[in-house]
Amino acid sequence: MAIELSKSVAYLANAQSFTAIKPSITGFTRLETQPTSVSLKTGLQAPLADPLWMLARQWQFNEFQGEDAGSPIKLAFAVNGTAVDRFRSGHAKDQAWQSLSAGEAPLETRVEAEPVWDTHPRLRGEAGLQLLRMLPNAGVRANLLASYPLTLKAPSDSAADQAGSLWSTLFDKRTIDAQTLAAALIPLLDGNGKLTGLPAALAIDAAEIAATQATLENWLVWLSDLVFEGAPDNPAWQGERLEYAFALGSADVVLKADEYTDGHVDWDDFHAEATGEDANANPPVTQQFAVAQRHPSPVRYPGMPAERYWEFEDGRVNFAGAEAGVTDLLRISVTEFALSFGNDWFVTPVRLPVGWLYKVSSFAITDSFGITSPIDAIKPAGDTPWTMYQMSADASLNGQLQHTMFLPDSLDGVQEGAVLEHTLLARDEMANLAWAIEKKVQGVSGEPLDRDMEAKALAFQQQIHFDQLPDSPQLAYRLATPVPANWTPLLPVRKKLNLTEPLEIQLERAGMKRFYPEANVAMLGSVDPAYKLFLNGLDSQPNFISRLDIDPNLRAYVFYPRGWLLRKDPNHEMVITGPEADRLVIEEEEVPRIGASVKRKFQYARSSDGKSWLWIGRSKVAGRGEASSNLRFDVAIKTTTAR
Amino acid sequence: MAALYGYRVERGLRDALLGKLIWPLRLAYPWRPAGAQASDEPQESVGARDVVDGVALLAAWETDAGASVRSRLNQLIIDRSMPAATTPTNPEWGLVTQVMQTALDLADSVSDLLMAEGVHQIMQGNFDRAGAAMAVIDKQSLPIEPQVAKTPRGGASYTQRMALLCPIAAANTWPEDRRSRAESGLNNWLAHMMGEPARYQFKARVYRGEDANQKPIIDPQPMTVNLQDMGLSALSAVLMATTVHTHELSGGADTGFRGRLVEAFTQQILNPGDVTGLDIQQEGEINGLGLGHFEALATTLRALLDKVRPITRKDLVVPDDTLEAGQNEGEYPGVDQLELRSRADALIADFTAIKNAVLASADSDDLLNNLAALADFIVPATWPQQVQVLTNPAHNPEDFPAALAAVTATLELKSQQLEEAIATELDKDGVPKPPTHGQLVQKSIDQIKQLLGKDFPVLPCFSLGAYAADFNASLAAQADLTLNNPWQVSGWLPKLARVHDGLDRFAGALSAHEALIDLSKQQDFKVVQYPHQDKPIWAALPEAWREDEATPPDLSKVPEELREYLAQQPGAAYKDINRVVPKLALALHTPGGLDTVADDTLLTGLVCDEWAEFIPDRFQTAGISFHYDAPGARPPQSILLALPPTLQQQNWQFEQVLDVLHEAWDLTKLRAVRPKDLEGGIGALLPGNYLPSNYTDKLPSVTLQKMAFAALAKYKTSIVPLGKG
Repeated sequence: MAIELSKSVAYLANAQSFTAIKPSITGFTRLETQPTSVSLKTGLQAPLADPLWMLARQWQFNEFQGEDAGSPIKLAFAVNGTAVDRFRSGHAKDQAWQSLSAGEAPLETRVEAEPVWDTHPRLRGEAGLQLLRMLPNAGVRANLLASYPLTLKAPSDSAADQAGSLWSTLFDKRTIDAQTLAAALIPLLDGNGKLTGLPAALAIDAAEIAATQATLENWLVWLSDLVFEGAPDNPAWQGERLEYAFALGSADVVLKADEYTDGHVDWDDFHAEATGEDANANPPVTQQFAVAQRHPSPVRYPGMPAERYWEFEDGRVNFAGAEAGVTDLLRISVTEFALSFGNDWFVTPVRLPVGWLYKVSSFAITDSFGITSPIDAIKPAGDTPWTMYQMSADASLNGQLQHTMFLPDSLDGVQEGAVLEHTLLARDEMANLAWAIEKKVQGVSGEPLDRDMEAKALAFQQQIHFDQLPDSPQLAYRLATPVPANWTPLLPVRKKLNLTEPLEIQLERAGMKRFYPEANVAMLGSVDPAYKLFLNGLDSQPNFISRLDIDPNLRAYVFYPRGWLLRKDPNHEMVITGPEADRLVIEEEEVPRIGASVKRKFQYARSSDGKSWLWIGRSKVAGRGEASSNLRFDVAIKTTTAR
Repeated sequence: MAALYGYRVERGLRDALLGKLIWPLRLAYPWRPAGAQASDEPQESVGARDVVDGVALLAAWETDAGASVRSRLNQLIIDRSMPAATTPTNPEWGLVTQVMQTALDLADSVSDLLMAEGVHQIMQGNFDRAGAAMAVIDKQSLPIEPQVAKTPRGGASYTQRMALLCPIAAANTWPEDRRSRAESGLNNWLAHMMGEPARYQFKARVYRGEDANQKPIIDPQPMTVNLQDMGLSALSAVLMATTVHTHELSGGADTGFRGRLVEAFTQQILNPGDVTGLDIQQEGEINGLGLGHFEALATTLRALLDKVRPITRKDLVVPDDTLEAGQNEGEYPGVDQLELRSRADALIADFTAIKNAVLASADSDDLLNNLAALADFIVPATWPQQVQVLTNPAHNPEDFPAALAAVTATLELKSQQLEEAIATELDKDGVPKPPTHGQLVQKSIDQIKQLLGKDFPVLPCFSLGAYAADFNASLAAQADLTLNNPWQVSGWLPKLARVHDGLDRFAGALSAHEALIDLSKQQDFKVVQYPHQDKPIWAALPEAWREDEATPPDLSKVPEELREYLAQQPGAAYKDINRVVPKLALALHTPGGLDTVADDTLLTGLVCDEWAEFIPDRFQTAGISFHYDAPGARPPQSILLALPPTLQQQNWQFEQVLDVLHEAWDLTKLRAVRPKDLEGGIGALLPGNYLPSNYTDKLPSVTLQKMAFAALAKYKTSIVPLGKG
């Protein structure tokens, strides 16, 4: 409050004594309070001890306004739950429904899991070591090791596959191959998980058989818990879209997740549809979660404006201080919501089991005057389709899932291992192609191998020195400029061969052809002794470098990718024809101009029953934009060349 | 966002078979990125280019439903002399409108989502994230990953840690050397992991020129060197085999170990004069271990050493202030500072003795020999240039004094660094405080690292003190913790190693040891869990989270809505995860076993990895929120003390109370009005305080005006106009 001196009001004081004593005039200075000033600061600090002024403020803030309403003090509500109890992998309706019951693998694990043992010899060896530790008898150990040894050959490029080189030195023939042994033992198990005998390959003393069988049984239990393996051709993985697809079922509703890529299942991944089946085929599992009495609490957030004048607000947040330019509409809207519309909202907690569909079936509020009023769900204002926390549903459901929330049994805190395989998909507008660029794949031990480094060893570059004579060649002709060996072209192909239909393009994984003259063919420039070794090195990688037989003086190779993302089985030679042909066609829109980055990783998580799960899963995120291969054909160059 | 919307618009046009319009649109609304550079090499990613600026296009479209976009496009087609058929016809423009409408819807839903994300992050208190979400639209910054739609999963988490404890007292058959004496604990653990040194046989083939047919002549018997005979401790062997540096004998970049191996072979060779080459084999004797095995095992051990950190008391226990009372040992609680200091002092004495010998060298050969003895402290590659000259057999003897001077300078500098006093704070009298326990420990560690290299691992020894009781209780309960399965930890390792790098390195070293040397024993693994409970179960096992069969669920401790549901659940009940979750679970590698520790037992080791293990809750706390326009009425913030209007009043009349209230209320309202708000001088009628002012001093007077002028004169420099303070 500023104190203002106003004009004095003077009048004659003490008129009787005026004549007797010395005349005097008493003036009065009137002190007036000025409740406002130019700056709000002093007013807001309110450094005043005037109780009436406090009341005035309350009056100004409408705190004495009588309203025909009470504060909500008691709630009674019920939530109806319908269990989501079925799971189906993939798009196709012919996949069988599987039950989702307690104690089984979590949803993410089931969807993503793919074969592990085939791809990871080091893990097979480590699992074999666990058996060796568990076996007390040295003779039995030696016998098992001799019968089921892990074979791990050294990689052909030990610089790129350092882990492969290390583990082939350490593990080759020195540990048991858990996968082979388990494959031999599992047929011998009876229904109770007991071994009915031992494989014929093992010659174990009769005295040791019982003890060995018991140890092997324990080991098999441990082994089956170690990793969660999926089917070799995971039906959930949509190769042409590089995404997972799966569906959940609850009574007569199917919840479809067609584009699941991020490793976290949530309500917004699903689209609800009617099963179209007989209503009695899947009787609903329902449960009511009722609360007879609970207190609501006002919604609070940091920086929320205090309702009352004489109350301190959160000092950390200052919405009023949010800097927003005239074009920052979103910022202004958020600030306005936070400052003006934040109160009048209440919340009440409700504990619910996960993996169910929930709908509030009744909700009644009792206010401070004892008046009970039921409340309905908020109706969408106008025709906006914008809703939050509500799944998009098909029209065929007739609003059955309106105001229904899905609380998925999803994993949180999934721990991810190092990237086992990483492929970038990118468009190359200049070359009119798309590329699949393999950054990492699993090497011989299952640990990642650096494809960029390997590609350097798979290219041969030679500087050619031309004589500086007038008639010596000035230009060299090149059929095609080189592209790194880990770049695989994705060629556009017509989806339907009927030319009258509109053009629909897909991208087909091809191979990159490269031609090299035989080492004994006379060539321009000096012969590099490393050239022959280089050619032989190409021959030693038949799983991803196929040799074509076209000319005795020319070696032609096709370079294919060597990871599980782009191949059916990279541990074998590429098959391009026949029923077993390894063909990969990707929908064109899945390689957008921003590109895509696809990875395979080990993932680990605990489920709510305390079990731990380890599996290999894939993820796809937006890439890094377009690539530029500088691939050109029919070029003449001056000084450098590569054969 | 501009490029992303642009991609969508172009994609839509392409799908609508209107590809002809893409190029004119790009010209009309070009996206111009900054800093794009062309290159001849293949590039995995290049910046966005050749795309319509989606934001500019959508903004232009929204102003007049596309009319201006169309006229601009048509004008551009004429200006650039494009084929007349490029101009969109009316039906085609209808398709364009559809494409644009889809893009506008997309932009609208993106902004809705970002708005929701902004509000969500504000509620969570993450203002940076909220700002980032809003900046995507406002400032065209990089898109964020929205979290608003994510259902959070509640649960319990605890710290899981994997550590190894070195067998301090164990003896080993490896030769002793300077490094093993300086760090005997780690040396013992490495000796255990590497196995007996006598098992490693290194073989080399000796080449002696070529015969008449240009075939190489190779000695029929390969030479062999046993690791035991090389005089290296396990610690030195591992460090040397994995440290790459130049060595004059092996030539080129190679490991120090290979250099020593070549030296060892060279000393054995008969008729060294006609040797033209030496081929050291990777393999050893049949069924034995060779150089390849040795180096592979050493690589896995070194990979572990590079990642881990020394263990301290804090890693083995859950710190408890009541047990630490009265001790202030800072960063190194429980560390035996004297033991560490004796290690540093022994090294310094060793160094000083050799240094004195070097400084007393008589000639070049003497100097080189003495310097060779100093190789652990100063690697030959870092000798001063003047000394490198002396290694040439044809050097000038007069170079010796310069070399000696250079060596003297280097060694004296090192001595000075070693003896540098600890910088301590001053107390209030300006007297330096005595160094703290932590500073003394750190000084000893620094001294050892100054002498043996900054990569040399120094593990301080510490004791558990008052924590020993809890630690022992867990050690004694191994059977409970592991459910009577001694292979629980070794079976858990391969699983967790796949997702934790430090654990992977330990698992790698352990697998290498077991494949090459020997299998682990049952007592080599221990589990410790805090707080210690009766019949504890290691939290890594699912059994820790479940009640025994036939234990009914305790319905009194669950919320009302769940009781009916839980009563119907079949099978074993689940424990309340928040009650059973431990604070810390430790998996320990203790080769040779560890049954009990006393308060002052010295321990040392390494922490391989640690992380938070998360168990999701079976139930989720959801929320129902509702809008309820609660009344804004609030109780008054003042208490009205009413006095009776007349002195001898017997009792209050209701009207009087009402009058008092009304008067107070009127006065209250007057507080909200300023005198100058009322016109015609009525303001003077508002209540106010009057201060008398009489020049005769007959009345107590306050001469405000005078005081005000005096005050103004006094503070002339800082006059604040009234009403603006």
